[in-house]
Formats: sequence, structure tokens, C-alpha cells
Amino acid sequence: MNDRQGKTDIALRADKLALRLGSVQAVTDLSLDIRQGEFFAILGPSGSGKTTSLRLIAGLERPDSGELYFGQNLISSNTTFVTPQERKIGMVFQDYALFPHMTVLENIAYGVGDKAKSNIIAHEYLNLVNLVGFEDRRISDLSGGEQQRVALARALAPQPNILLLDEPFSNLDPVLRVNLREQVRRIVRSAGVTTLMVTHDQEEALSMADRIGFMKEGHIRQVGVPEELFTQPSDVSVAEFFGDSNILQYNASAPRTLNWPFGTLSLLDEISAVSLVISPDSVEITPRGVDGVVLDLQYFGYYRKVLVELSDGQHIHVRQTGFNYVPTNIGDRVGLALLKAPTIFSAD
Amino acid sequence: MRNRTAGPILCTAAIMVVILCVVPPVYLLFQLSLSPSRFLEYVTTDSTGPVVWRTLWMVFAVTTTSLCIAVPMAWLLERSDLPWRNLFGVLAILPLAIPSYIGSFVLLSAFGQRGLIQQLLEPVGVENMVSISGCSGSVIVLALSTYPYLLITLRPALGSIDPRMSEVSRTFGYGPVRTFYKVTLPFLRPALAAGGLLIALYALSDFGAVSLLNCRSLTVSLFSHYESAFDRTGAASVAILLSTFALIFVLVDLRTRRNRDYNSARPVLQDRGTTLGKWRWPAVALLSIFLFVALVVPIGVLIYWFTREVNYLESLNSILVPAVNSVLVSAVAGIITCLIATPVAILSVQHGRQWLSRITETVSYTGYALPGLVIALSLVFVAKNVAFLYQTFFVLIVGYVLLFLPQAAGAIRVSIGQLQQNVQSAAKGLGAGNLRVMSTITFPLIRRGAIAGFVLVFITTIKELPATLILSPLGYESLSASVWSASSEAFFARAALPGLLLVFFSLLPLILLNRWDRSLQ
Repeated sequence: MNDRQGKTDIALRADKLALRLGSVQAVTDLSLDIRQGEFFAILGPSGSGKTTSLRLIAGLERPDSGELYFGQNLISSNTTFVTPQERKIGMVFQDYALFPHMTVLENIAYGVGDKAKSNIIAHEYLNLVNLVGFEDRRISDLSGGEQQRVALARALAPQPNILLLDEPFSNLDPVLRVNLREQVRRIVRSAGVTTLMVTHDQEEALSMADRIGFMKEGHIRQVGVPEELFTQPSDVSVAEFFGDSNILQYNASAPRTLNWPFGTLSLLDEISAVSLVISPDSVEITPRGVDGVVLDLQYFGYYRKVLVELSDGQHIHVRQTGFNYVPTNIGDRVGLALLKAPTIFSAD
Repeated sequence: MRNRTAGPILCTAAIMVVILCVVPPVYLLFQLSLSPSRFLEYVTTDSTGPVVWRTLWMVFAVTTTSLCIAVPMAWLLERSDLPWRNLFGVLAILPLAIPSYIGSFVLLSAFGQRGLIQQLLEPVGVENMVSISGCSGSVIVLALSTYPYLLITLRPALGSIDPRMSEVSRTFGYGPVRTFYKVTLPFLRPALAAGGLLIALYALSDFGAVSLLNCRSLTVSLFSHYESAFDRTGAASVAILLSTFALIFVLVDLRTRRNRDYNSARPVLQDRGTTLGKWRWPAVALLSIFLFVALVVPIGVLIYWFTREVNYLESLNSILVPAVNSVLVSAVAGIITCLIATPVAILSVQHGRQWLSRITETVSYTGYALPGLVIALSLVFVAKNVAFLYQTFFVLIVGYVLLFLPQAAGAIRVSIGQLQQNVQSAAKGLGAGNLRVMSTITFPLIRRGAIAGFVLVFITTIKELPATLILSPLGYESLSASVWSASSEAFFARAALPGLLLVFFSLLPLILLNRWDRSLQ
């Protein structure tokens, strides 16, 4: 994508937004670009500043510094602050925050500017989220999934510039969650709205988003398409979070050299300590391999995990899929081979 | 809740509340600093000791008696298979509508000298009655009119005991009695302490019963100081002593409760309750007899004396002004108290960790801890120095607001607490301005709490006696003062109609509120 296109295509740009809440620096550096019509997810562990980031973008918090643009318009800076009610955002809260004293239809119509048409428009969105017939229901009579869809319709009905989803599925049971993910993605697609979702659930982010920003300790560590984050983590914290990777700590044995049970690795820089990231899927149990002892076995249905101790005392998880693994018992000696070279990060 | 800074409107309101609430304590400290020797002199006089002991004994006796009534009653209503539990549950609360001076009136006019019973027995030759007045009479009257407070705090606590807790205890081999002492009682401690404090403070500050039944307690002594010589320092000395006891009670309660608020949700398993078996009907009978004495007898005695009135027309005429006065003033006090309580409640729920809201919340409990007489007295002396305030409705209303702010704030706090965090943010995100958010979201959602707060303040204001006596503008007649003055002069028939009206005006809003609340659910 060239530079000119990049500028006109941007729906939202956050530039070094920061906010301190009490004694906690909740967001240290929120910088990201979201493209028109894109589904972007901020993913991170709890307490990483995701929700605060979303509230900054919604205008529910005022940043200490940094700038925020919707398209070309400056929304928030040290001197400018557009109030949430003027931002034209649609927000779905974690607890949905539906108005309990109003009916489903009244909730959806609340934000529609054109009062004369608000009922007709609300009906359209009720149809979009598949809740026709629920117009006059009370919020307390709805199931969690239904409430979620009402919240989504309410956020979409005013045709916002950007849709913000705050952990939208965390209050739902697992089966419903998977089901609703697909529905929400389809609804958001058909509405054609730019969407920013925050979540701590990697499966949710990986399966729904076009691009993901990984957030930890108040700033975005890596931005990329789901495959990139999963397979090419840019630092250990990203690797740690995704796909329960093995992280092995070693000290360099000689300058730019590391000896470990699987042979010798050459290091690019003069570093003394390294973290090796190895996916449990890229280790294989084979008779002709490096020696190890099985410490534990866990069976998960369509795969199983084998915990092996290497000759130098380090532990490594191996994931075996399919149904033809060699029978193994705790205490057995096995051979290990790497299918893919480990990713090396400096741990200095 | 996120700790965002409160807006300027909230802060201004909070500062005003703080200023208002510190008037009485500051006044007392000011008086104390003026003449500390006078206070010491009062405390060390020979006549003070007996008054203090009498008061403390009475407080203790009222609290214990209420406990003896409320604990078994709460258990029957909450944890047993007593028949008609819902009906009994409502009836058991209603004695709240009978203020202590009406209870005393009933005691005097029915059982006292020249009372109803003696008149009935006169033909048989009974001319003297064993009178139950004095402090023991006050204890009976106060216990019967305050135990519902304890019942109200105990029932939810008892109901939220997880039946599994006692099951666990039984798996350790403890029997039911040991389980009660080891598990149930410690669990109930916060509720017992809270309810007990409420009753102790009520008994300490009561004026109606002790003055009518002739029990010379601290409040009576305070009032006579005030009345007889308009003795400012003398009255202030008694007020300081009274407030000291109130403060001690509050501190003892805080110590008992520290770190002991067991926030147990409703149990997952619903206990069917203990089967009463052959005790079923005796329990019903006992409860019925008790409620008959606490509820039916007082109203019956009031009606009896009303029928003895010779000139109905005149009595109806003379009741009109006090009745309208009482209803109007109580309604105004209710509205203003709720208006002031709303920012206090919003601050404490949504900005709980800020220093301003902490101070506001603490200070707003002044009216809960300090006796009504003390608050009235400090307001009257402060107002005396501000000519245009003295003897005005303004001061009377301020007195009521100070006294009943904690009640209103408590009721409103509940509904603000139930407000989902993000509902207001959601409305803003949908493009609604502050005014639209207030009128379409915030107010409709806290309306229920505000109305409950209003009803509570209305009822307590209309029944209030000591502050009304002291703060009323000259020539202002109220229902409570009418009952009190008529019964203190033994004009029983004249006290009956205002008494009946008072009970009516207290019961009606309670019943309406109960109905309305249920229709909402």
C-alpha cells in the first residue's frame, strides 16, 4: 500500500495516546492506524490497558497526551477534545449497559438522530441482528446472547464512524460465544463499519480480526495479521501470550555462540542471555533424536501434550496430533527432533 | 468503580452538605471551649450520676429487649416453615408507624391512673392501679417501637446464610446448638451490631416516651434546662454528654464490625427452612398475640379515646391546621432531603475513593449519630445569632434535613449502586448530551430509590417530636406536638385524633411504597 492511499484510507489514527489513572500509568503509548472498513482487535492480558485505550478512543477518558484522528479530523489532542456525544461512535460494553427501563426497540432507537424515522431505522437493525418480534420485550427478559445483539444493534443504528467492542463475548457461555462470534462478524461486515474490538481471548482475536495489535503494559507491542503474530512474534511477551510456546532460557556459551542439546546456534549480536521460543508443534518425538525423559502426559482428545526433560534439565512441551502416536509412558526415554529452528530473543 | 474526578456541580453540592452537617458538632465544641469548667462541673455534680445511669440502663434494656423480640422473630420469618410468613413479615414491621409518644400515651391512658382499665374496673372497687410508667414503661414502649429496625437488618443476613455452611459444620461432627454458636451467630454479628446500634442510638435520643412517662433521662434533663431558664451552657453541657455517649456507641459498633462485613450473595441452594412440627401453631399464636399487643392495642386505644370525644366538630376543626402543617412540612422536608442526598449518594458510589466524597459521607452521618434534641438545640442557638433565621421554617427544615439525610442517602445509594457502570457512558456514546442523559437515563433509573427515600423521610419527619418542639416557629402547630402536649396534660381524648392521623399518615405511604415496589418487580 503506497503512502497516498494509506492516508486517505485511514479511519482512525492514534498517535502516542497516554493516560495515568490514579497511581497507575494505564496507557503509556497507544499508537495505531485502523483502515476504513477494517476489523481491528487489540489483544492483551488483563490489566494491559486495553479497555482504557477503548475509553480514550470513545472519549470517555481524556488523554494526558497524544493525538487522535478520525479520518482527517483531529478528535483529541492537548488543546482539542471532542466529547463522546459528538464523536459518532458506536460502543458495545462488556456488560452491554442496556437501558433497563426501556424496551428493546427504545434502546435501539435511542441514538438515532432523526427522531421521525428512528422507529423505522431501529426496526431495520433489529432485523439485521435477527431479533424481529422482540420489539417490546424488557431487557431483563432477554438472554445474554440476545442482550448482546441488542447492544450491537443499538450501537450500529446511528451509523457510527467506528464501532467499538469492549470484550463483547466475555459474559457469555463458551458454546454461545463461538456461535455469536460468527454472527457478529457477519453483521459488522454487512454494516460495513470500521470496528475496533478489545479482548483478552486470543482465539477470539485470531478468528475475527483482519489485523491484531498486541498490547502489554500500556503499549502496543506488535501489529500484524493474525498469522504473523502467531508465527512470527516480535518479542518474547508476544510469543509467551500466543499458542502456549515453550520458552527456554540459556546463557551464551561463547561470544555469539550457544550450545544446547539440539546442537550449536550462532547468535547475531554479542548477548549473554537468550530466550528460545519453540512452538510445541515444531518438536517431534522420534527414535533417532536428542535424548529426553517423559515427565508427564496430558490427553486432550484430538491432541496430547508430552512434557519432556532434556539432558540439561530444561523442560519442553511436545504436542502430538492425530491418533497414531507411539505409546509412551511417564519415565520413558525418548528421542526429540526440531521441525523448525527456534526463534531467538535477547534476554539481556 | 473507576475513580474519575467528580464534576463541579457534585463538588459544590458536597461542600454545602459538609458545611451544613458540621454546624451541630462545631457548635458543641465551641460551647465546650467557651467554658470547659462549666461542663466539668456539670459532669461531677451529684445529681448527674443517677441521670446518666438511668439513661444507660434504659438504653441497655431497650436494646436487649428488642434483640429478644427480633432475633426469634427474624428466624421464624426467614428460616422456618411458619404459615403466612409474608403476611406476618409485613405486619411485624408496622409497629414502626407508632411513635414512642403514642405508645406512651397508650400506656398511660389505658393502664395508668384514671386510665381505660381502671375505669372499667372501677365498679368492682379498684381505685388504684399498679402503674407501669417511669423508665421501665419507657423500655417497653421503646422496645416495641424499635425492634422492627433490628428485624429489617437481621432478615436479609439470616436469609443469606448459605445452608451449606451449617452442613459443613455438621460434617465436622458439631450438633445444631454448637453450629448455631460457631457458624450462625458469628455470621450474624455485623447485622446484629448494625441493628443494635440503631436501637441504642434511638433509645438514647428518644424524648417522647421518657418525657411522658416521667423517666428523668439525659434528654429530659436537656429539655428542662432548655425550657426553664433558656440556660444555654447548662443545656450545652447535657448535649455534649449525650453526644459523647452516641459517639462511643458508634465507635464500639465500628470495632465490632471491622473487617466483618460478610458480603454473601443469596445462597445457591434455597433452604426449605426448619420444620416447626408441633411448634407450628404455638409459634403462630405467640406471634399473633405479640402483634396484637404491639399493633392492634395501640390503635384500638386511640380509637376508644376518639369515641369518647364529646365535641367531634370542634376536634375536627382544631385538627385541620396541624394536619395540613405536618403533611406539608414533611413533604417539603422529604423533597429537599432527597435533593441534597442525591449528590452525596452519587459521590459515595461513583467516586468513593476521593477525599471529598469520603468526608461528605462521614459527615452526613451526623444526623444519625447525634440525638435530635442536640441538633435542634445547636441550630436554635446558632439561629438566635442570625436574626432573620430565628424562628423560621427554614431552620425547622434544615433540622429535619440534617436528621434524616442518612436515611435518604442510604435509599438512593442502593439504586445508584444497582446502576450499571456504563449505562450513562453508553448514552453519551450514542450522542446524548448531559441533560438528555440525566433526564432519560439517570433520573428514571434512580427514581425508585429517590421515592423510597422521600417516603422514609416523610414518615420520620411527620412523627418527629423533639426537634419539632424546639425548632417550630411561634404558633406553628403540628400533629406530633399536639399528641405530646395533650397527653402530657392527660387530655387523652384530645390526643386521640392527631394520634390516629399520625399513624394513618405513617402507615399509608409505607403500604403504598410496598405496593408500588412490587408492581415494579
